[in-house]
Amino acid sequence: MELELSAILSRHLGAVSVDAILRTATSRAGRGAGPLTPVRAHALFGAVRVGLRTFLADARRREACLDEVRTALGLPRAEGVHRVTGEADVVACRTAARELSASLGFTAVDQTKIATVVSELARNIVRYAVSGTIELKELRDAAGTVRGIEVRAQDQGPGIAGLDEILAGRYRSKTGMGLGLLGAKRLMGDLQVDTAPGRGTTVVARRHLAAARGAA
Amino acid sequence: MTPAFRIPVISLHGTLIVSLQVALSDVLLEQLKADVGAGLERGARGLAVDLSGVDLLDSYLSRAMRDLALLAGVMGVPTVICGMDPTTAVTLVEMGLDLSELRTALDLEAALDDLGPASSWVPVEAASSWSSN
Repeated sequence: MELELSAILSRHLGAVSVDAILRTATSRAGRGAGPLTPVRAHALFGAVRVGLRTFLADARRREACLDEVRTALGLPRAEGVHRVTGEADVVACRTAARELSASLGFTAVDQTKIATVVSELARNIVRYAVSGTIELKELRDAAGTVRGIEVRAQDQGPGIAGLDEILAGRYRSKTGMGLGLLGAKRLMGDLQVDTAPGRGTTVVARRHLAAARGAA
Repeated sequence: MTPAFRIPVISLHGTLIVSLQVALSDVLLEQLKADVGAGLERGARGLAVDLSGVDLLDSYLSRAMRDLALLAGVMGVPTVICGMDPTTAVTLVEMGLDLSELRTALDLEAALDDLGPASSWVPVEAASSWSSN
């Protein structure tokens, strides 16, 4: 895998930069021989993304390079619908959320908040509904300017009983059930839940960019 | 099920050090609890959990940290959580997750300082073998 990444990066960057990025990436993802698990693929991708920001100033060329890296690692595009059927997907979704929010120009703190919300929603799907989807998309205004991000979590699970208690913070349980959803609402501000027993759950959360800025 | 990969539990001068570098899963967490439990049983004066390699702290991971600290606590060993990055800290506070029962430190070095000087701790087996010399 490192060889393949090295070949891709070499088409976009000088040898010194390629070396620096790969060294960070492999030390973060664990060296060479292991199988390319989703977790490892995401760790590699994350490190390459951070490295490219340092070594490749042009945002468009950076995106083009990242697209090739993403394909080589077998990762889906950040934007779009992600299937959630297990814990590996939780990691995949929150990495995608961080990637998309970073490319939209959210601050580091906001990226972590958005990724955390996606982690909570995806984990709820795995835990309570077994499978579902997380959709990530950019929010644009009428003029086509990017204004924020939307996260849509959908499942056909048992539904959430006592939603009002959970969102009002009156629900206390030893297992911590409900804390994730309440936390997600606090982090996003704008979070709507549509649920009923036996009908599944849809959560839509939005966060707007503080100031209108281009992709960082 | 035993995972192919497990999170290492390192014993250094009587302190157990756990550094999370990968996303935690249920399987990894169960294995980690078992390994920390076994490490505590062999004798330890403290448990330091380093989160500097973690991408984010959601309610699942916070609960896992609390469980580890509780586990060590009922075995009489203090736990210090360290290495949280600022964006994670801000997120935790705004989420309203209550971590007040956890002892925390800025980084691993501060955590080890907090758990007391290494020189004051002598492992049980070592103490008995030294006294016979």
